[in-house]
Amino acid sequence: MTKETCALRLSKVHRRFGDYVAVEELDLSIADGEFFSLIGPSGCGKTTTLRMIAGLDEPTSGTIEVAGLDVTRTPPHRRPVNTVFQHYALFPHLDVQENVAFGLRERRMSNAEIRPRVDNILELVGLQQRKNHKPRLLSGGQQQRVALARALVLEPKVLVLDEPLGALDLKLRKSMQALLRQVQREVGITFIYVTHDQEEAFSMSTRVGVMNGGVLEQVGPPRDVYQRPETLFVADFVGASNHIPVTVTGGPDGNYLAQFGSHQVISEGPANLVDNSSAALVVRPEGITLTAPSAGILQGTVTDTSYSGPQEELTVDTPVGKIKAVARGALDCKIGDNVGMTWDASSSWLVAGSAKSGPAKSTASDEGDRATDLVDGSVAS
Amino acid sequence: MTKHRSLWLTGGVTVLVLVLLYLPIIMVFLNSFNADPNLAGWGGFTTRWFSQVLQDQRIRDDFITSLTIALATTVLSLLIAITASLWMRSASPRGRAMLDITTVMRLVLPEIVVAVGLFVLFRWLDFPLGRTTVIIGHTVFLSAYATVVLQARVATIGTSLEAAAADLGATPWRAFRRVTLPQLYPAIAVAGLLVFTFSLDDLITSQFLGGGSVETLPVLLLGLIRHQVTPSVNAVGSILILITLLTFICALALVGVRTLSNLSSSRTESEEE
Repeated sequence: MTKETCALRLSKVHRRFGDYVAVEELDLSIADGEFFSLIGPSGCGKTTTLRMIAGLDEPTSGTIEVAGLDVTRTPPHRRPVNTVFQHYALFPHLDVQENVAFGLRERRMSNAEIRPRVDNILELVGLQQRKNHKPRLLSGGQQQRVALARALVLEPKVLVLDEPLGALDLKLRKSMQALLRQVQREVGITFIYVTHDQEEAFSMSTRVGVMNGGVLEQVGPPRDVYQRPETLFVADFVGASNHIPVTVTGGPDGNYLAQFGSHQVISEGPANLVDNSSAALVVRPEGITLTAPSAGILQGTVTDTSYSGPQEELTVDTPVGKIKAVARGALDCKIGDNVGMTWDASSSWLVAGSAKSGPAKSTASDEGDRATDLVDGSVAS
Repeated sequence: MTKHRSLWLTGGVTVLVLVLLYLPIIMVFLNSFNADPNLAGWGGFTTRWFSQVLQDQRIRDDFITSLTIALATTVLSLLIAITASLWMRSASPRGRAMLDITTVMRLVLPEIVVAVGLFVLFRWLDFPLGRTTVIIGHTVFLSAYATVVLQARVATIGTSLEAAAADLGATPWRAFRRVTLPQLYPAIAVAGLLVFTFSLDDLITSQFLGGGSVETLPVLLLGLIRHQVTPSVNAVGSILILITLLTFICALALVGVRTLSNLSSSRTESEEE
């Protein structure tokens, strides 16, 4: 990426709180107009990263550049970066209009200049009817839109959004996601979006970055991150996955042969796997096709089923551990049934390193995360 | 049955306490219109005592003195309280504990101890006693009350709004002016009201630190009743009551009944929904 097209560049950004390393040697470049999401569990350092970009926190070392300018030590009020805060942080003593006009007034604009801008942006977020209301009279979704308008009206180089939809219910989230996407396309401002909801991140972003324990584990388009996870953590975090410990050897067409027990399957994987090294074979539940009990790659007994509307999720006990699979269509499985399972080389992926077998614990941690989100979104992450 | 009885008991005690609290005030108020100069009984309605009081140059001077001291004390105490409670947010735990101790000490130490201490100090410094020393004396202990009120409010509003203001381009000073200060108005009104009325009716500090040259209304009243409770004493008392009531009503009108009552339940406005 050249300097001109780079809206934001973090170089070796490090942030320590005492002995605790919140963000470790983070390198990241974000292009102009990109919708970039940072995802990760609570406490992974994504909010700290965001605060450093906004200037509300300073890195211990490393540099932050916005549109080619070093802003590492620039106070927040002099950065071309604006924030949509997790809990909106609307000014309760000002009405919607004045909340939105706040930053423009700080730029010493006249009323004549301010009014059309405020009206335009309120129109964009659909709140022109409410411009004389105090924030406390608005619903959560409306407050969120005021927070968005207040930041957008300043036309920042970079807009950072800190779990902006965390406090909203599912339906409102969906419509706000659509609004955010639409607004981002219309204004063309670079969005940096922090969330721990990978689905939300995937559906909105051009690229996502997955953080864990202060480290950026993988950056890429949602499809790559989902289908070609570089670490087991990423595989776990971006949706349910099964891990099977395997030994890899080179296979046909740049693919690998993965061996576990007496089985040998062909799988795609990263280019740098060493022959006879141990790895984890990652298979998504939806990549698995159920077969007759005696056929397929793996056989096992159904121990649990859960119906979620569009599909039915099965847990199957196999010699390599519990495997999650998805049954679609008319397949009717009951607990205790014997089934066979198969998958294509293209729906599995290899991750270097050894793995515990069985389905990822990701679903559990994922739910835990959402629960904390509902209870208290203010947990620093 | 028992339920009824306990209701009678608590109700009765409440009424008794209210009567004991307010009866003297009502008596003072009524007697200030009593035409009987000996206050032996109701001698008819008169406003004579008021006109007498208003024409008395000494009372008028003392009244002005009291108001000046109360106003100056209020302004100084509020400045100290706002600065201290904002500083508290970023202070180290140790510094915070230190400030808390000095605040609490000023609240619990008997006023006379502080007054005597300051008296000795001023004497030792050869600082002439007068209006200034009374204002300093009042500020020393009344700023503690103001600090307690403001600290509670500052703690509930947090720093997120200031961060938002900074993010939107406001310098720290502008963020304080446009965001933090408006959030503090109710607390400032309450603290100011407390300090103003406490200063207005203070006797001990005023007497110790006023020296011979400064006399406030309460000091004058004390002098007057040493000889005899005259109806004019009641009139001065009534005027003091009215001033206090007026300040209270002004504060209410300024910040609104709701915000004021919200403050006591220490909720932030954003949590009101």
